[in-house]
Amino acid sequence: MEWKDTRQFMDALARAGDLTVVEREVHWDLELGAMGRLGCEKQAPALWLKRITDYPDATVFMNPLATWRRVAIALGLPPESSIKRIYDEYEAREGRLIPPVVVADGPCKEVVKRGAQVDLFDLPAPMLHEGDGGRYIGTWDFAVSRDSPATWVNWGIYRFMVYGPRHMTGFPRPTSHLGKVFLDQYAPAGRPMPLAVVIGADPLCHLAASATYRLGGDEASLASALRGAAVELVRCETSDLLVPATAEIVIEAEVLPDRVGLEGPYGEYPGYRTGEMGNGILCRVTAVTHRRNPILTVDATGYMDDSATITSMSGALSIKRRLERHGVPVLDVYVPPEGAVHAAVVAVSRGGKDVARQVVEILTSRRALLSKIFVVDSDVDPFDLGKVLHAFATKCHPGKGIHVVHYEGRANTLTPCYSQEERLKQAGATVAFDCTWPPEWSREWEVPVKATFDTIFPEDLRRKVSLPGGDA
Amino acid sequence: MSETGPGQIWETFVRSPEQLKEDIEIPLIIRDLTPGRTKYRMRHVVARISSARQAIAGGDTLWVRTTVGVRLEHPWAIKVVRELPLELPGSPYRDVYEALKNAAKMGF
Repeated sequence: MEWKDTRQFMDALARAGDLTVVEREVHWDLELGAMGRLGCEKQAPALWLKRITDYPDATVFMNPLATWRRVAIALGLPPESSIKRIYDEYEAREGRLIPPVVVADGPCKEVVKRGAQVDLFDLPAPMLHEGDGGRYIGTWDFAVSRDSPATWVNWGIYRFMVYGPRHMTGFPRPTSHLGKVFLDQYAPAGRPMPLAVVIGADPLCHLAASATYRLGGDEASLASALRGAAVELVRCETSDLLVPATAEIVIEAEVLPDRVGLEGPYGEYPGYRTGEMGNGILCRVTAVTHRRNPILTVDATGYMDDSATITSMSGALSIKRRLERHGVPVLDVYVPPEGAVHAAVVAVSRGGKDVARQVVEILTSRRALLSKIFVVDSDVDPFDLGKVLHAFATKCHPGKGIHVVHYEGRANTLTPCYSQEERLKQAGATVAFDCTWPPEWSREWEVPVKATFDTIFPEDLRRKVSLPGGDA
Repeated sequence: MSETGPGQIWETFVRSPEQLKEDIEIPLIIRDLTPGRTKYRMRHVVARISSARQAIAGGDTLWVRTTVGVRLEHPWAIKVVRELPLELPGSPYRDVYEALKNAAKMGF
């Protein structure tokens, strides 16, 4: 689906009944956040808030891809497509990369403010949750940065908080691609890192930016692949970074190598405000460009937010590829939205303790975002959480089937069950629950026979059997 | 009776109650709660604070939040003594409160 911009996508959502337009005035200070949060928790349509207190010239679009229906629409699929169908479509498209094209101008330059003209308080950055560290301008955004010397451009979704008229703080984790490049290449040299925060590009650009993509991977080419046509990029005003030409808002900045400010705390995607605070980066804003009457796109971050769909999907496919590369007999991986990108189900064609151990070791070797992994046999549909729970409850040996890996320096500091001390050390653990039969058990003599309709009756009988009332 | 005084209202986040030292000058990160477009603008300051509202004559109101964003029940009084730079010298991804203390010591 070739979306020109987020506005076209909003039109498509409206046609499908997946956009609610709110004409009454809504305050940016908490009211907007509460509405968006309720929308996520009820799996309601996306919101377009057309009158924002204090900001007559801007509107707000909330929760663009927070339901599978909206992800399906973004990919040009029928809205009622199954999660498996959406996964398969994404996987098929991501292998056909298309380079982006550079254009001379674009709608994101309709209004250009540089230097002293810049005032971030001109944009309706919301206070999303009561008690957050600040007003978050970057929630449904992605940051464009590049390594030094410029061989690779990274797009990644990270949060950014308004600090002053020309300052933002942010929390791209130190283990993220942006964090790693900044810490390895810019900070030691004392050089500021050019940054562009893109808000409200077409939805597939954000989907690509959320991808758990390899270091050195080009998310702009991935975005083009997902939409089936090259994304048009335009040069920034104050750096040579390239940004989508039809974005609603672009904030150009420098990440300062030797200056800091308070960042957080923030009610994050795991569904908690964990106390991760004061360990981020400080950015000096150099320019803001935007469309006339810009639409600020916002993710009502928390349980079942946009990450529940898009980060889960790209994360699952990334896990699958990684396990395949290491020779794990993986069939499918599902990262259920209800698990807040902390739990994954890995279906394998051959299980056992060695495979379970291998899975958890591979998935914690660089950075460890997951804390619970369920390894299931091929007879369990990993997308069916009821079946996964059944396998966990019945097949996971409570004494021998639990494999834990502990680590330091690469834990997910947003994981709610970690102590403040663990957060500071980036220390944590991941557990694999082996919900498979030991491969050494004899199929004839030892493996218990599953007593379900599909497995414990002869096929010819199953074909004949139906319930009174017609439900076969 | 309102718990806040007639002056301006500020809010701060602290890592522990020990950061709230009374009757001496301490560095703080505060944000402005004045309603309007610039609400929540941040400032770095050296200030005197007190849990007794009357202890600081002409003081403003200071609400205190914890690391997880919970607001303590009663407001404090605050008198800003001097300003610290908004860009605090320090290492990214390191504790901002250390940078704040160092900035105050360096006499900004």
